[in-house]
Amino acid sequence: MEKKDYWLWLCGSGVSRQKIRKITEHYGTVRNFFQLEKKRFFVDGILNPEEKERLWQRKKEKKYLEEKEQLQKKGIEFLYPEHPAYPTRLKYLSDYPYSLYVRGEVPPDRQAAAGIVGSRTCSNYGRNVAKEIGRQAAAAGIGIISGMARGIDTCAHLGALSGKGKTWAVLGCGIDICYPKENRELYDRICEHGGLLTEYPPGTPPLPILFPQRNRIISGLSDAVVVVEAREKSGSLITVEFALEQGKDVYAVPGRIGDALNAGCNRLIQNGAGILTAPADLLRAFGTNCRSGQVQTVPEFGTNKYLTQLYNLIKDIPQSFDALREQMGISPEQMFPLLLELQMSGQIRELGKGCYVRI
Amino acid sequence: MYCCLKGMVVLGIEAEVVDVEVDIGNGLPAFEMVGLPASEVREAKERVRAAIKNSGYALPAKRITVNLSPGDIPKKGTGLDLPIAAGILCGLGIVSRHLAENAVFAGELGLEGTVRACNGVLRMVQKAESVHCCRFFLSKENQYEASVAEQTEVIGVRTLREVVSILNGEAYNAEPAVHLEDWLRDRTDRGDGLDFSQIIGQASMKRAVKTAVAGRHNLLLIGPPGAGKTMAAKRIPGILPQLTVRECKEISGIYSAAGMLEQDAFIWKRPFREVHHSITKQALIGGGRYPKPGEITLAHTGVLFLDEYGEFPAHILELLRQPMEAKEICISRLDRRYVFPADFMLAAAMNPCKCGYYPDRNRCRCPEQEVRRYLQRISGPLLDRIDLAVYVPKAEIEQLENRQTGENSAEMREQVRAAWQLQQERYRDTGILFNGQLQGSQAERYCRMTGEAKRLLSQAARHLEFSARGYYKVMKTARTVADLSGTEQIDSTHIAEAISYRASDLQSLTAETG
Repeated sequence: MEKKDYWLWLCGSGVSRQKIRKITEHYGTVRNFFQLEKKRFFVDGILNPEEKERLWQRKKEKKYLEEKEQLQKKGIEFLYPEHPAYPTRLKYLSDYPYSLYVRGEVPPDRQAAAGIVGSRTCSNYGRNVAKEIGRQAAAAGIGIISGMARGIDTCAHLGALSGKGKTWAVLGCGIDICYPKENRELYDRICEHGGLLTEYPPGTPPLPILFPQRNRIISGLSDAVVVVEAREKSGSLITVEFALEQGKDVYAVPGRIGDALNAGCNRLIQNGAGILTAPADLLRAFGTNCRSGQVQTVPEFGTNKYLTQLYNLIKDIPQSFDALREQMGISPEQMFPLLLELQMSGQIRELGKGCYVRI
Repeated sequence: MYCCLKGMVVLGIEAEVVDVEVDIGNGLPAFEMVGLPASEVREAKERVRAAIKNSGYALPAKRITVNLSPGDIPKKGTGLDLPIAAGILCGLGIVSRHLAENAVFAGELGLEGTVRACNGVLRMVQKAESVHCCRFFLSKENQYEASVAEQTEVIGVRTLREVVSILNGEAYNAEPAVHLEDWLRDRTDRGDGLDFSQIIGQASMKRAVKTAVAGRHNLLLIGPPGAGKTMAAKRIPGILPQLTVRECKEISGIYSAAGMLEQDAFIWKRPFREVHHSITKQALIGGGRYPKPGEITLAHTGVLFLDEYGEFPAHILELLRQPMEAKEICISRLDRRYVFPADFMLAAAMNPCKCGYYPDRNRCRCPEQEVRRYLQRISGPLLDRIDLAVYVPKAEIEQLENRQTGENSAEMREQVRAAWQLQQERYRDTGILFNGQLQGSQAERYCRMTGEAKRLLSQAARHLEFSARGYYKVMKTARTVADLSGTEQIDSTHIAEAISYRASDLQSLTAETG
């Protein structure tokens, strides 16, 4: 029996992290615990009788071997703290995960990594900022770590993928479950360009209580954490707390005063977080530079000056037809064709009926 | 003694002549009534007996039989009190039979002998005219309503005694007839104080409303709470062209039959009916044992407004499909088919998401998929009915302070009227009245486009993925936009504007998650 089997036996049984820690502290290694004879095994004071019974059954039926086979078949790797591939960054955490199920690769210890987190119900602006930071950082060779949740997380991954870089998602459920469902395609792409990680055994459903805990892994794997949009009471701030505990740098994207979506970020800045005024700020913090040729180009509109003017007016914050027309100072008859042209050329889109944003 | 007078009943919104036969003969003293009377007609017995007594006439101890003919149509309403009482007085020889038999009577009696108003008098007098009745006795309270009659002489009375004296040849003061055309012309002040100039800013919404009204397209207003969606919808009747005399008679008749006509007035404003989403089928399209007109009939010639469109159950909106095409609704009962007109413009309003503030992410915390789910609820049958959708943003405070009023109702009404005229000329003898009614092949025929417009439409259809239905809707809307600008050919600006109004892709207007 190898070391991995002992860990699989223990971690796959659903025993909590705190109890595993006590076991390893008390018995030295998992192997010692495994090899206890029945009488002494059941005397143990850490686990409750139910858990003991379960573990004993797993031992007798050799469940862990079945599981190992299953994992191999599905291409999932199982890492335990002593495993050579186990990320060094995580070993420094006070409550590092005892098990790590991985699809794709593990974030290399030598590659710089940044965590990007934020609101799930973010604005279009936040979406674009997250994508842009993700893209530029990934293109500069920084690994992007996030949680594959809706909103900012998703956009951070997308940005990293579009920047042809590496990105890792730390899940709050079993590795074989794609949550949220609509991110199926993203899930597959992250597998190819980076990897998926979780500490929960396969089949674990995405329970709300699991998510705050996985945030410590996101911050743990990152050298710096960027918060793009967060409300005053946002889950992203949990990640920030972990990051501060772990001694990681925290950056926040500033927002307007009064914007509920940015109140959390602004508070972070007030409390001393780094201010991110452009994606380049993050790269500078990592000591790298934005690679040339990555600057976004302004689209060409030929001779139509109105088209350029209108395109410049349309920002990431949705604006209504009336508001745009007023700023342009032209008649509605002139406005309709301009908007349609920008829409058809893929520069802008309608978000909600009659509101326009940049793509 | 036997005699036969004429009374009227209103079934649905149609008036029918009822012959009231009275026979007074020997036998055990009794008062019998036959001929399918509803319960309120059955109760007429007691009112008639007391009214005759209290008017100073003695009811003899004889056997009185009243028959309401034809015997197979249900008799409903309180208007039969007066003909029954007059018939008995006639049978007793108190009034002249000759004069009474040429008249029609309609009115409810009080125990004291007073004649009170009843519903549907306008429809009755119209019917009386069509069967060439020369005199129509009714309550003084109903006189104004009935005075549009030109051939029939309308006599308003206050008491039963007055009826007796007039029938016995005494003189009375005839009221002058109301000339509806002049009356309508005098109603220039709409009096309701509703004008589009009260809506500050919102230029694009006003423009879309005007376009919808000009082509009779069904309209959907989307916007946050308090943006002025309901305010705008309430002002739509004000920019519809004035009622014609024929329309006024029709809609006033409906309201008269429904008992909703105000005293001494006709309907001169196009109706605006606001419907709550908890409405029942019967209340919407009409119904009941004796069918009453529903909201769609009460909105005839005007606007039916459905607020919180997304909350309406699909089966309720499904009911609108047939009447919206046929412009009438037919309700069948065991004994009769009731046909109610229902030619209205549909206006609907809804919020863009549950909380109402999407896409303003500072206020809206609805997750994307929730927003999409909310919009998906109005798919299928609901979206099929909508030609134009427009966003109504929250008015900016500066605008409210500057009071930039924009167009007022009178200007908009004039433009709509001109567009209606263009359409009437174009669709003469085709059975179509408005652009909104064009079907697929007809749209191809009547929507002449410039080459550039055609190119733009097909390009946009490919880029923005229109369905076939969406494609024709854009075409129809563009037709109206062109009509409003007074041009026969549709050019590319008209197409671009029409495309901005399309509603068919509402669900796709959320930020993608992937």
